Amino acid sequence: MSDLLKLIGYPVSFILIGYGAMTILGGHITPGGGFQGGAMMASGAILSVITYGLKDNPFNFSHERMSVIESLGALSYVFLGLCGLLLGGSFLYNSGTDLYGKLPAGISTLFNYPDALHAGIIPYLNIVVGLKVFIGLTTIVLLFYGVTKLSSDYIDDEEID
Amino acid sequence: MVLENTIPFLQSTAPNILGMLYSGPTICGFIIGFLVGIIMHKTPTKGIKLTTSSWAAIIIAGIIVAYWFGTFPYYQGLPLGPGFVMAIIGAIVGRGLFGTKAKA
Repeated sequence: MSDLLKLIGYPVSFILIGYGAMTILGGHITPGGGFQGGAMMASGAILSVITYGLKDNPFNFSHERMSVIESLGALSYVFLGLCGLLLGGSFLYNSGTDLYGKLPAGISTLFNYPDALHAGIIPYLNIVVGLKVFIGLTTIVLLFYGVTKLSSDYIDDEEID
Repeated sequence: MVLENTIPFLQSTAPNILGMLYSGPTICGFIIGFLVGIIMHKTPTKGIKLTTSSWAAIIIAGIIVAYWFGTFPYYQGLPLGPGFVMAIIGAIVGRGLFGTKAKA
């Protein structure tokens, strides 16, 4: 890629990650949410991969770190669901808002998302889904990119011309 | 006081910044950015060399972008989205604390 792209690619990745995080955090009020915000954050990582290549990009796409973040997202989702099951009687019961009055006030406050709307566990679900989607979409693009690089080694340039 | 009257940003944030700052998007934005930051390389890779002033410029650019986004999502406190800025700061902090060493 050109030097100009290499100059601004990494800083723009941070802006895209911040924009994705903002979309995730507004998912309970505005259009958007975990999937959309996660896809935006993934676009920041993908921009770096396309600009700098697989070897020299500033992200560390090691299996360990990515699996930790993806597992954290998936397990947190299950944890929130099981908390609703144990406390409220149904899987993913919104323990933060407690619409049916099944929980003591202290536990309801514990799960409540602290902002003006008090949406309960919905923002937390958006966050964990966003983390999972971020890693998932990044992995898909990394695999495509790797396969494309691999297959291009075997394509004869004369055939393309 | 004169400064507050001339700059609308300071005028709107003058009364009480901490009283209007919701802890939910602030903390969660930082955590999201932090988790993304730990999958970055700490040392500069080939073709990328960012100094301290570069990081400051990224944060300032983030604040400007967040200011133009406005009070997303419909919070009536600060004139900028706190989740946006905190995610960028979290990514920088996560990269600095847990970033890995790039292969030469």
